[in-house]
Amino acid sequence: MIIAISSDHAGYKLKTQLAEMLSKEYKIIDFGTFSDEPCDYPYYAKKVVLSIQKGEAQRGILLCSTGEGMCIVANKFKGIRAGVCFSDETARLLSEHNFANVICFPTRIKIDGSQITAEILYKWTKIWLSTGNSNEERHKRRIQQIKLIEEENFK
Amino acid sequence: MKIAIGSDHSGYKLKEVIKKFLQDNMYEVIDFGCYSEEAVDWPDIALLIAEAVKNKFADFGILIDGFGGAVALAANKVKNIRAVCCYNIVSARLARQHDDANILCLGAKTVGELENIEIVKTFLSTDALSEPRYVNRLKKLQDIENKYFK
Repeated sequence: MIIAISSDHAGYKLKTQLAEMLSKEYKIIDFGTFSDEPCDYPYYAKKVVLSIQKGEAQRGILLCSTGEGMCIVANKFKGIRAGVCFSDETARLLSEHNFANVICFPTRIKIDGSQITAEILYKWTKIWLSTGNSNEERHKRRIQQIKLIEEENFK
Repeated sequence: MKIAIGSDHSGYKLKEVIKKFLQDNMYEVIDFGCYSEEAVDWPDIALLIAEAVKNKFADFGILIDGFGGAVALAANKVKNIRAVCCYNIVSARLARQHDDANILCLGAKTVGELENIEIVKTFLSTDALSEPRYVNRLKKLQDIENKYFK
């Protein structure tokens, strides 16, 4: 599996560590950013989702301070289903119920009183990647409805 | 201030609690359902709230499902909607300050009722920051929408 990854400056350090950990098992395309220098998250979110749209990568990982800005931008692209992950359970549900092909991680928010580490993000990534999309009719129907909304609203 | 609120079946009970909180605090609330715990499809409700905010029938939207992720995904498929899944007070404050979010998405199963009320209070009382770096990023988001949306 090929995974595209990017972050803004707030996610740079954890992105680099996470990409390094994942590169032992997956082919990783790192779209930057490559320093702590302030940059704009829409530019980096776009690089990852375009790579998925082109079929170059199958999944995408985006990191910013809250995960939210990246998530808004990624969902503005057809065929992209992105969600913010903040626990083992949300990592699983993103794949099982939302059929998410992009996962967005917060980097500067404490979860349950703990700082986010690369190890935590690696664990969530593995849960998300190893959980299949649900086969239940109701979940498939809802994803179909998202496709209809996209047909209606996108060029 | 006018708030459009909606949920799927898993968020129904929390929606009723948030609705009462908002009404008690003098917000005008438009409830788009669902109206029981009977199963509905989250894209339907998310689309109603997104259209209400987009068409300025409401100033902000609140959407609730199991963890807030599905409704955020659906609502962001509508132009000019910035929907965020907020999982604590800091994420709610930054969603307004940095992303000028106009739809708040909550998880009924992942976050407690009182915490969710605090998240709502924070979201509705925080303004978007006007510093150029935040404004420029939102401008870039708008450029993406103009390019890819009808």
